[in-house]
Amino acid sequence: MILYPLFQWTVRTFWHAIGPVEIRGLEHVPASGPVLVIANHQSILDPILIQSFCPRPIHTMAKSTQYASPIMRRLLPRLLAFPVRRYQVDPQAVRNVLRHLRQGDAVGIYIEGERSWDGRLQPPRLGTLRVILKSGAPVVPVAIAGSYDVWPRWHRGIHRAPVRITFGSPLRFPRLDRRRDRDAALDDTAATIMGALRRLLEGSGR
Amino acid sequence: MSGSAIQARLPDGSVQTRPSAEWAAALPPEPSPAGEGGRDPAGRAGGDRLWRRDRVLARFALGDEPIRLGGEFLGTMERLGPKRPGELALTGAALELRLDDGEVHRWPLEELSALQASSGTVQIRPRGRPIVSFAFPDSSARLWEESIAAALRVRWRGLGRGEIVEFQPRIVGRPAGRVG
Repeated sequence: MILYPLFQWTVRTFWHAIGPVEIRGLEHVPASGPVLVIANHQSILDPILIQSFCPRPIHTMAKSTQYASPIMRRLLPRLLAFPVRRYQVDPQAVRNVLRHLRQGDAVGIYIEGERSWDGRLQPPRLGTLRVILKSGAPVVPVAIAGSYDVWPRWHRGIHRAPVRITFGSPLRFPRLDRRRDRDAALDDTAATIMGALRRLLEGSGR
Repeated sequence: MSGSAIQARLPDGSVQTRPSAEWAAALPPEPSPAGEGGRDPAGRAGGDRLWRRDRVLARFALGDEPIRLGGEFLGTMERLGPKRPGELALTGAALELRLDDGEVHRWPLEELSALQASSGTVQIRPRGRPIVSFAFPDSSARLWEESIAAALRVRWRGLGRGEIVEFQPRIVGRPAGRVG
């Protein structure tokens, strides 16, 4: 855990120096207890920025291919990332989410499942919605805007642009133990979370 | 110009700078491998008409490696083999990979269980087998992902499997109008 605060401090210092960043709604992040931090995904920078500017450590789901290099395989777990294989159902990733929530941790998931190619919000991943409903943990929606202008997926270089991260009011969903019940609740859950993210993004002016 | 804006020179010589999302929305739709509107005129599911062909660097997953922190097991990641040059072709019925060393792989679309873009590559998972990753030195991974997704939609519709609502972690079809 020593590396994590160092990482946060380094990113915050660097980012304040190179570009404007505005953080809103930090009061919505519970100081303790289980919480799911559910964000949109515009850029590879999103987890770095959200983890750095959120006061609580966030255990973040990261695609398994990011662990390909020996350096990343050592670094990412120390930055509280855990892997998910996106091309098949990954029970271990679900177990990690539920275990961290049971321990009272904050868990970060990018609900679209991958970075947007064009900056627009993409549909939610059904597996993420099911995990939300299986856990029953409060959901803090987080909208990150502007990171796409800094480093879009299709570009190799970083540009200077303002970034705004907005933490929304916690959303509550019932804990549903039966898959049939979870499936029946998918549409409403998707509409609630994506609606909240959309409103937070619109409030960012982007 | 911000990082997400694209500057283009139009056929009349004028230059326009627009957000990438606007350019993407202005592009004409990709033709379907199975005819206009995604329906095969002959009523078949898909077809053997060539839709896209490009040079690729293919990598086959060789196995899984555990990821641990201290003694704690966090999960697994795939170990990809070497980059192997070849040519990938997409028809309304299958993906076919012809490697330069002579090896040929053919995956009928209905036997794919997942499709995803990962960084600058497209990855497929043939049912019950490890993933195969493709990089496109002369083309776009985004274009290929969309092309394969469109071909899969037509194929699934033709086979009566419904509308595809998700391509990963597995391809899932649902009656139209439902999210889950």
